[in-house]
Amino acid sequence: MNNSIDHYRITDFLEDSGFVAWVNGNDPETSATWESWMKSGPPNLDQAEQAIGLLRAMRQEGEREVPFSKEDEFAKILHRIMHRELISKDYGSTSLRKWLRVAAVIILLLVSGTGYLLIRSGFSPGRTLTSHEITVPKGSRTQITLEDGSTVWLNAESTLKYPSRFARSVRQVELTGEAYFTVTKSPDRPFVVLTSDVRIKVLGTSFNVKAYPNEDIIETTLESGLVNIEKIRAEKGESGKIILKPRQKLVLYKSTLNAEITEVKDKAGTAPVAAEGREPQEVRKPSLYSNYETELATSWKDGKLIFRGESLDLLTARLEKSYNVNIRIADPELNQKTYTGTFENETIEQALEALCLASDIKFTIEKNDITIYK
Amino acid sequence: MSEQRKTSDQRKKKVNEPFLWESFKKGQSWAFKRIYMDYYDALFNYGSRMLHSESEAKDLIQDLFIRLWTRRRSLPGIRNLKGYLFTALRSVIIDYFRAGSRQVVDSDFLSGHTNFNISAEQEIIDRETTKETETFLLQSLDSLSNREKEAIYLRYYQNLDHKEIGRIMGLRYQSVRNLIHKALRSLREKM
Repeated sequence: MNNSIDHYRITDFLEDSGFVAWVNGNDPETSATWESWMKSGPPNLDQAEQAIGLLRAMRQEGEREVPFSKEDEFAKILHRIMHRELISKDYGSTSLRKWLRVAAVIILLLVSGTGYLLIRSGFSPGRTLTSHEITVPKGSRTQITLEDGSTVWLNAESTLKYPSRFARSVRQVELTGEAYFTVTKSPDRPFVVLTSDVRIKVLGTSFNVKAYPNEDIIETTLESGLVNIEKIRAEKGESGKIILKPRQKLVLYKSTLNAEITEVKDKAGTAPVAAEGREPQEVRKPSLYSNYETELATSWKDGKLIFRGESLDLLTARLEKSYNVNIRIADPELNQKTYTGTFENETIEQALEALCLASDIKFTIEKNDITIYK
Repeated sequence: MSEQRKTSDQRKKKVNEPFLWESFKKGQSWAFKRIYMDYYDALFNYGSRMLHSESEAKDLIQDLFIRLWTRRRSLPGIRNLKGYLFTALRSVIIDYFRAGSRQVVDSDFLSGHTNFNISAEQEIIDRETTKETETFLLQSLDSLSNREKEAIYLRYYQNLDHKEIGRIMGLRYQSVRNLIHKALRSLREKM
């Protein structure tokens, strides 16, 4: 190290890009050099220490967290974008496929009673019968902000019906498919999610609902708050009412009307894809998002696909939905293995390659048709 | 030095920024949100200093992200995401001033100066490791010109390099160096 550094004063340290990079942790390569210089007992150690203190204080100030909710601000941005995109020509001129990829949503605003499609921005004041219906196609997901500020993440192949203005006494939406709700608190106006078989009532909370018409189960997973679930077709003599507590999951079997409550497993961290009966293999670097704590049930809204001990056919069914592909499993015995892991914003090829690495399977892709074999 | 605080820059390093940016340009909402969440704090910090108003900073950052989303397909590739976002926010703010949405308080704003305010004393006083010199130096920042303040802010508060600062402020590399050198020199003289 250059001797002239021994004559540095605070401001000289600040002007030395290498020093600044070292203090900010941007340059691991030179850190040993600087550290040993500090330890060598230079005459201007105090100057260096003050420069370090100053740099850290400034960085801390520059990246101070905002004193309000970034999520709320983001919801406002999405809301503004949605209304802008609805009225812009962009909607009609882009090819449908591109639009699906881009906005991940087809929005049909059905004006009840009039029978024609009307695209409009903003909400009209006073009483209105306008109801919106949003359908998310395969391979996509989207976020919607409702009039009361509640947000809904709608998963692939799902439909949400909601009014442009909620009624005074109740906020009701209808769901087919899967959605994650963050409901704004409003003690006088319960929020109700109506599915084919259950009515879910909350005052203000976050929860996930999965109610696909082609699956026998309806799953409700609660993150916070309390929810009240009511079977629409209750057995005689049964109240049909169930209260769900945070971190609990309710599974209702449509065929039998049986309901099961289970505790949600802990954080579904970053387990690499692993086939059971083998050592779990690190098939890819740990997730970038590993410190984002996301529950199994709600992970899809962040573009993650988390699976725990799932058989290949269940797993591929989820891949089909998320990636809009058809998957055929050529060898039925492959279904005997179970898989645990996380896919995160990968392409379908990357996801399949990860699976191949974890167990001895192979795959072929032809357009949207995928075959998995031994 | 071992307990050195991990800065968010270190955490962000793990993200492949070009990939994030390309995904965003392809219209992937997760990438949009990720960029937003990663850089909101810094953008708000910068914006509220430029504008002297938190509510205006909020509004203009909303405008910025709406602009980014609607124009995503025509946006260029990027070298430094943070630098790019700062450049974009600065131009949103300058447009806002030009459009006369707000009276320009500082007469030299439009010539590239910003009505820039740095006040870190409170935070500094709160910290245990505070040394008198630090406090004094930071307080002295207020005596700098707006341009000097902004350059110092971008360099040290936001850890951007001279090249990026040049892009953001519309200055040549050497001018940025000189500006920072001059600012530090005048701080040193006060000590």
